Amino acid sequence: MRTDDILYDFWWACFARNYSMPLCRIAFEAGGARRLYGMEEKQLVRLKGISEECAQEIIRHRETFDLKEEYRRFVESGARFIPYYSAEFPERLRRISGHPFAIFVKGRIPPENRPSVALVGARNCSEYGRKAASDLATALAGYGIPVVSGMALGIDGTAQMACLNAGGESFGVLGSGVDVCYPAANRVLYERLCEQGGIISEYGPGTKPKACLFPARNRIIAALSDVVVVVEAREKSGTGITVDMALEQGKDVAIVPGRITDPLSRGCIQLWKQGAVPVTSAEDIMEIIRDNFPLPRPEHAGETARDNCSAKEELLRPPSGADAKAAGILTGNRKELTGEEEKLYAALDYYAKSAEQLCQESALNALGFMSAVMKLQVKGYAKELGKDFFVKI
Amino acid sequence: MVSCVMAGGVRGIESFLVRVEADISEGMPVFELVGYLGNEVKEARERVKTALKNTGVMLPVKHLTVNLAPADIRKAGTGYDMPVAAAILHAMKRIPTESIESTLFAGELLLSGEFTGISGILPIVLNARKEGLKRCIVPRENAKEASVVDGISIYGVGDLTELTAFLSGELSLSPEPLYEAETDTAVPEADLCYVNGQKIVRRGIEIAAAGMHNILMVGPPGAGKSMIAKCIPTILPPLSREECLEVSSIYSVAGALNRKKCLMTNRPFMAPHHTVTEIGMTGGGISMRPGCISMAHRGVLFLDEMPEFSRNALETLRQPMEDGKVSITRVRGSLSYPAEFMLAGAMNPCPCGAYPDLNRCSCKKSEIKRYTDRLSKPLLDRIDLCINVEKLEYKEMFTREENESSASVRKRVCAAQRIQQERFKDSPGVFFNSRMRAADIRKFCVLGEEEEGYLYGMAEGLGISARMYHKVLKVARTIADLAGLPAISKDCLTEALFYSKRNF
Repeated sequence: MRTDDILYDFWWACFARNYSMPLCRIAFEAGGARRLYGMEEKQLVRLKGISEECAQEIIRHRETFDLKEEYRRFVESGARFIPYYSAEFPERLRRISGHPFAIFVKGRIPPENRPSVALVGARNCSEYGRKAASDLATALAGYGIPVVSGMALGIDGTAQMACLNAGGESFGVLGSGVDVCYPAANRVLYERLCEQGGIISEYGPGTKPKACLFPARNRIIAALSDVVVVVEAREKSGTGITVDMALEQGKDVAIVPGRITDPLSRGCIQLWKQGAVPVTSAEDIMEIIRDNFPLPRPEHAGETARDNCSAKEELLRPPSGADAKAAGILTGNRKELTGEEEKLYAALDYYAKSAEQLCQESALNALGFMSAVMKLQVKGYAKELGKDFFVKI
Repeated sequence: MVSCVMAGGVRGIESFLVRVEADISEGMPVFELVGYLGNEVKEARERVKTALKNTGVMLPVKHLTVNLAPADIRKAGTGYDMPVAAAILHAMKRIPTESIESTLFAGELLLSGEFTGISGILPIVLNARKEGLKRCIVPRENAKEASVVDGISIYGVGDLTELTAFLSGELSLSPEPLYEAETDTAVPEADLCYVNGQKIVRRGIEIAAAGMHNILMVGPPGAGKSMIAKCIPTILPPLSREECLEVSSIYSVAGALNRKKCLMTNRPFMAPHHTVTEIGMTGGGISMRPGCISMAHRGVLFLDEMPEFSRNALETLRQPMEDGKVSITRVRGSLSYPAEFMLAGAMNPCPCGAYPDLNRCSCKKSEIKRYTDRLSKPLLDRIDLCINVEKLEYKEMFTREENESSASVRKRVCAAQRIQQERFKDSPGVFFNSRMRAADIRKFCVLGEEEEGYLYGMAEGLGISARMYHKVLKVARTIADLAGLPAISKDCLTEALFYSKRNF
């Protein structure tokens, strides 16, 4: 292999932005990206999976693509280009059929010798989902388990942020180029992921997010994790695609149970009925991991068999401080609350309740309720959603 | 000799006296009408000429000049027909001089010689009284409206023949009796006793009404925001006689008074549709009519679906909300209408209306933001209270529990407003807590040490801005007034905080 082969591979990987096509197979059939680059239209169409239009597209693309310049600019941006044949290419990703031809990475890639967990779910999630996602992620960080997700609004982003806040590692798989922060509202998360984890994409730099790119992105999320946990999902959702991909790849799928009346939990309950494992704590997720996670292979992790044992034992360790803290909030250590506040807190839920309803349920008078609800907000036990709708946090 | 009768012109809701002079001299047989006239006033010439002919008065074959003085103010409206006719009749010596002395004429003529009503009669009559005139002669249609004003005799006449007969003493008419507002016997459409549940909302509008605070209601469609808004005028104190006349003048100018309802005795309630234009809101147009905000003077301006209003229409509210009046400047000059109103806005929490119930709402965060962002910050800053109105459960809707009626709430509101009148008697331009300026807040909203600390802690914990802080103080002052407390207590602050916070 010649040293500048990487340039041609880079070009070919960047082409992925235009077509969801088996880049790997075509490159293999053509005998490498360098050969593809040099092919005439007639030769291109002879390859399986390349139509006439596609061939013209390839030619147009390579004419406007300055190999050296584009690659130099990419490397200078601090990102890395990892083709499938590279030793760095994640093993878990290589194992799936139809794996990407290459990935673009900002930051790190998930460590090979550690199991990782995908926390995924609805963008428009409830406060309950947000709470569950952030508690699970915080606890997982305590176990040293990286959280993989899609950096979307709602469950994905909440889980990743919580994981980073707890000092854990998290990886975001994007449906756009690694240099495109989508959604823009998650700018802070994006920056922190670059620092404390990684951003991964199979699309070339500058690729704008497009709906058609996301299903393929979901297969990478599934591939990079060992357990996929669906925190909240409606019956028909993008999360369903991730789950399908995970099952296809033979990954375990877990769900966070919710109420049967909540559309946002119906997707989860549907999966439950189909055989997904319900989890209520990070410990439940760890159980699944302990049962299934294959011991790291020595050639990758460079560890002896004894180390492997200790690695597995490490996973059995009791939860670290971060998890205990998360548990503390759930079980309630609310000494600083007064009687009225306690009454109101009991009436609060993770689903928004209106002032009028809370006032009735807590059996407080209007003034007592107002005082209590604002004090709970100040103390960080409640949050206002909309006007005069409250949830506990 | 020049004949001279008095007429009235209207500018905004102010009126001024116009001298209508008529002169008959030798020369070409022409009828000249001069004095900076609008088109409709110029047309008076044809109407008067024909109407006189049709009632048997032929104009002399001489040079007839009529002037409307002062000639540097533009005259508009059709009310000059009667004074012009009267001046000519006098010039032709058909009526005696004493019959036109100290008398104001106003009315439009039809070609048959009949008089027909005009708009703006109330300010004209009010001004006539102010100028010391003894009587007004108006079309019969307008007589009742004009009779609202005491201290001046009002005579209603049907046509030119009757007018001539009356002025020449052949016919005696009795002055219109002083109009006494009929007590509204009809069951009011809105009353708080029809509002079930909604305890927090009821209290919210009571506070708003007591301090004339602008209020924003957030809630899903069908929650009853409009019904609650309609209740607000019913808990505001009744209009005083002076206020009645002021409000009625605006309606008179707008041509919105009728035979049945000559005096606005109830607080106005204006609910313009969200397609209203900037000019519809502030007033203006060719005839410089008062707009919605002036029609809501001393009452409530209700904007349903507030984010759906055009940005321009909403932004024009800002200056009148500060000044209590609106100045309209057009090519023909500028005038100002009073616009001291309480704004009640209503909006959905999100485009679909169900947020934050995620079982029903599927609006994206960005969509919700775009929706709420249609209300500009400066406008929201002028709204002191924000309440959530939620949909009632069916069982709540159909319970027949006794709710407190508007009349009973009104008593408390009146008491709170009396305290404010006393407080602001030395502060010109400030009538209510909502209109306090920074200096007034410092003077009248003094907090004790404990209260100060409490408010500071809460404001910081809830992330309340400096501007909000002032709002909270103003609202707390009103709550204290409702409770009859001289100083603002902690409970007042709690309630004020709860009602002031906006969260978007």
